Amino acid sequence: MINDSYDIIVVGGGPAGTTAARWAALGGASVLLLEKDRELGIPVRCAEAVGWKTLLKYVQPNPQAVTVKLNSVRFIAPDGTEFVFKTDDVGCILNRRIFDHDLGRMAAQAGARIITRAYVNGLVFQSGKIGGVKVSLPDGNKEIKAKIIIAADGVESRVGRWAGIRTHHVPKDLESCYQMTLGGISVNTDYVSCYFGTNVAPGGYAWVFPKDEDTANVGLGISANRSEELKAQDYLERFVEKRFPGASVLACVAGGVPNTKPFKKVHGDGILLAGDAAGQASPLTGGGITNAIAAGKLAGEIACESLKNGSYLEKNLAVYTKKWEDQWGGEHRRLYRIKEVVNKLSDVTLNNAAHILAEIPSEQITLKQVFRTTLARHPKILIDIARCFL
Amino acid sequence: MNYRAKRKGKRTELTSLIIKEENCDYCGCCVAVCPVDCIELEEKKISIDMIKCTLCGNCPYACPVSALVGETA
Repeated sequence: MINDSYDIIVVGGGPAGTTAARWAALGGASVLLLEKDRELGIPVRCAEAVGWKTLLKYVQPNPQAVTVKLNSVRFIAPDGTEFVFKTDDVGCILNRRIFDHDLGRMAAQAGARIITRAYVNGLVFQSGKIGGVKVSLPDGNKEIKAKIIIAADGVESRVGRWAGIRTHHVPKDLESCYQMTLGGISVNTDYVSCYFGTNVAPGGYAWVFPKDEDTANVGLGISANRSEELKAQDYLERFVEKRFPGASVLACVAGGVPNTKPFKKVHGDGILLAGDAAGQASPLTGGGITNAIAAGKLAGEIACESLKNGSYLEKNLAVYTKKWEDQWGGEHRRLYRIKEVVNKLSDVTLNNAAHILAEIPSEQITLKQVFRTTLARHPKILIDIARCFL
Repeated sequence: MNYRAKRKGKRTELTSLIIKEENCDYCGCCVAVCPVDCIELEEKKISIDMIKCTLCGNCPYACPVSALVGETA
C-alpha cells in the first residue's frame, strides 16, 4: 500500500534515482521511488563501462556486478591506425542489471520505498508550488503528495520541464546511440576499443567493450544532427558486418546520451534534477554512471537538509546547482569544449594525429611529448586543430 | 528520407510525422529533443500529441532506429 504523502518522491530508478533515494532515506526522510519499467536496470541502455577508482569514491559495488577489469583504451583512427593509451584509473565493465538491483537494494535498506510499473505523467501544483506527482499505476491513477521531487528520469526528463526548467536538448548536443551485445566473437579483455571516423560514427565514436572473452557490447553514438541519411542503427549494422561478420546478436538496444553544456539551473521550487535528466553525463565520452551517482548523492543529501530546515523553495535549493557547479562544472565545460573540437576534426586530421601518437611508445604519452612530436613532424595539424577552436 | 534542405543547412518543413512503432525501442531520444514536450512515452507505448507538435523535425533526427519518420512535401 502506498501512502498518500511522502517527504521526498524520486522519479526514476537508475543510478541517480536509487542513490538519491538512499541518501535521502539515510538522512531520515520518508522517500518513495517511482520507476516506470517493470524492473530496475532493465532494459540496459548502457555500454556498462565505468572508471573503477572514481566509482569507488561513491559506492562499493557488488563483486558480482563487475564482469571485466581493463587497463587500457585502444583508439582506432578512420584509416585503421591504432594506438593504445594506458590509463591510471583502471576501468571495468559492469553488469548493469546486477549493479542497479544492488543500488536499489541499498536504497531499500536505508528505508526508501521503491515501486516499479509506476509511470509519472504529471505534477500536482498547490497554489503555484509543486505539491506532488500524478502517477499511473497498474491499478489506476493516483496523486501522491511530496515536499520535494527529485527528478532522475533520464535523458528524456519531462518532470523538470513540467516544473519550468529547460531540459530539452538541441539535436547537436544529443548522441543518438545503438548497441548490440555480440556473442561468439573473440575479444581481448584487457582493453576497450574506440573507433573514430565519419564513416563509422559521425560526431561520435563506436565502442567495443568486452564483457567476456567471447562477448562484448558493441555500439556507437552519432550526433543527432548528423543522421539525415543513416540512423545509428544503420551505422552499427554496417560496422558489425565489417568487424564482426557472422557474430550472434544477444541483445539490441537504442538510447540517447546527453552531451550538453551544464544546464543553467538544475533545481526549482521543490524540485532537484539529477543524472542524465540534468545533462550531467560526460559530454566527451558519454559516460554517466559515476556522474549520476555523485549527483544523486548530493541531491539526496541537500533535499534532506532542506527538509530539516523546513524550507524548500527555489532559493533554498539553489545550493544544489551551486555545489554541483563548484565540484564538476568546470571539468564538464572543459570536456564539452574538447568534444566540440573533436567533432569538427576531419578524418584526415584524425589520421595524422593517430600516426603521431602511434609513433610514441604508449608509456611515454604525455601532453608535452605529443606536442613536441607534433611540432617537429607535422606542424600543420596544430593549425588544423587551432582552426577548430575558432 | 532527406529532411534537410541541401542549402545553408536549413531543414525543409515537414508536412507530417509517422510513428513506426514496430521499430521503436522506447529509448526516449525523441522526447529529449522535443521542444514542446508533445511526445508521451510509457514502458511500451509511444504517442504524439499532434495538436501540440510543431513539426520541427528534431525527433526524426534523434531517433536511432527510424521509428519516427518525417514526411516532406
